[in-house]
Amino acid sequence: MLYGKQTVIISRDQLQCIGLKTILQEFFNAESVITSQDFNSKVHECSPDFLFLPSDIYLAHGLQVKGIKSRIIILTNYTPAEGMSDNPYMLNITSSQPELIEQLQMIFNDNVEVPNGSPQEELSGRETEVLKLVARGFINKQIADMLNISLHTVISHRKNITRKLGIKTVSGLTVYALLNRLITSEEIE
Amino acid sequence: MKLITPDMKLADAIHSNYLLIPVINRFGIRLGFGESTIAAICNEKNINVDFFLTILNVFSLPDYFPEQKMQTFNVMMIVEYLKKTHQYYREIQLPTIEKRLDLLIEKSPQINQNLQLVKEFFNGYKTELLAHLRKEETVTFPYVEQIYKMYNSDEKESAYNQLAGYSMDIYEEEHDEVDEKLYDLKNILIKYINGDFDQVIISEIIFELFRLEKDIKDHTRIENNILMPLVADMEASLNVRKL
Repeated sequence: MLYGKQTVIISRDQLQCIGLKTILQEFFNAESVITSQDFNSKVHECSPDFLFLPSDIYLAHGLQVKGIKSRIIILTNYTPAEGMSDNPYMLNITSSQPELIEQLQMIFNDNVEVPNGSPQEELSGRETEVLKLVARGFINKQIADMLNISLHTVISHRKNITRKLGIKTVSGLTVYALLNRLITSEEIE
Repeated sequence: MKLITPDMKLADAIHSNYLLIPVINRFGIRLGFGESTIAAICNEKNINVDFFLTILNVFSLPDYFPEQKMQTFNVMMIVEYLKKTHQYYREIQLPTIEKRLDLLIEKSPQINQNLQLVKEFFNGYKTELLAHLRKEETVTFPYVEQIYKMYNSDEKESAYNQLAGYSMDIYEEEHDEVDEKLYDLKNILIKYINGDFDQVIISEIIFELFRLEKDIKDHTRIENNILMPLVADMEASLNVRKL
């Protein structure tokens, strides 16, 4: 859920930093979590998507904190009343682990856009052309000549094909092309 | 998952990770060991308990890799273990997957050309993996054994002249290629298989492929990070010239 998102945790309590960081990584696939002992310019510079900090630091640096665009989550020891405010959010640190995870899930659900489908992962027309030729047994140089493109372009298409399909070997790509009727077995060189 | 220790009952270690069952088999331990601790079983079976625990923990914990400790292990002990893993792939895992694939084709209500394609792809993988295993057994392991003997003999001076200019470096590249095919096979079955097929059998095949992949990764880690540095150390002290 937090893949590709930047998160900063500010707390003097190292255990709190480590604990929260672990939860974010294990349960929410957080990629980049930075922890810091205090609110400083570094935090400002990296303008994280989510910023966790205890209420005393929030109060002390109120204006500066408000100046950054992050979603702010204040670590408190009480549960906010119904209709929880979303600016800033509150996270009750005295909650049990399942409760913490549920609260975090609600916060992230509100703020992380889930893309519809995966349009980026479909092969483009050109990539399909390259795939067909690879599957038929042509080498990169031949493909470049046949499609009238540079060797470099062929290689970059091939990288994209492998990344999108999750298939790395030529024989694997051949099976893929046959399964999807992009080529027939008679066409294989 | 926690670290497995000598005072732990072997049964508890298996409860914490049942995938260790084939691993303990490679040390000649069979199921039915009752309440015995790992230390007791190793003692009885004459197994080096440090080595046994290291192998179990490396297998179970992705972040566990005590290189310093591993550098103290006897090279031949490692080779012996690696040979056992080869035997397991060859005699148990590959035939199991193959049988399942045959069953998959047999159970398919209509002839599904796609399943045949998958079977052929698997056959290609199997041939490559077997060739790689055989090469390690006929070239790499004997080389390691030879260099180990020389290292421990008194005539170190003349030793390096007898060694062919074999290098351990070819290793990794080959590994990669074979591993990629397995990765592809998993994705083909998970994402791209189509037509009529038995969902249950295909799931079993995928489980086996994941298990095989994990085991091979672990095996490669032991070869690259323990065996090769140990051999490199011996080569250095024997003045083996690398080509």
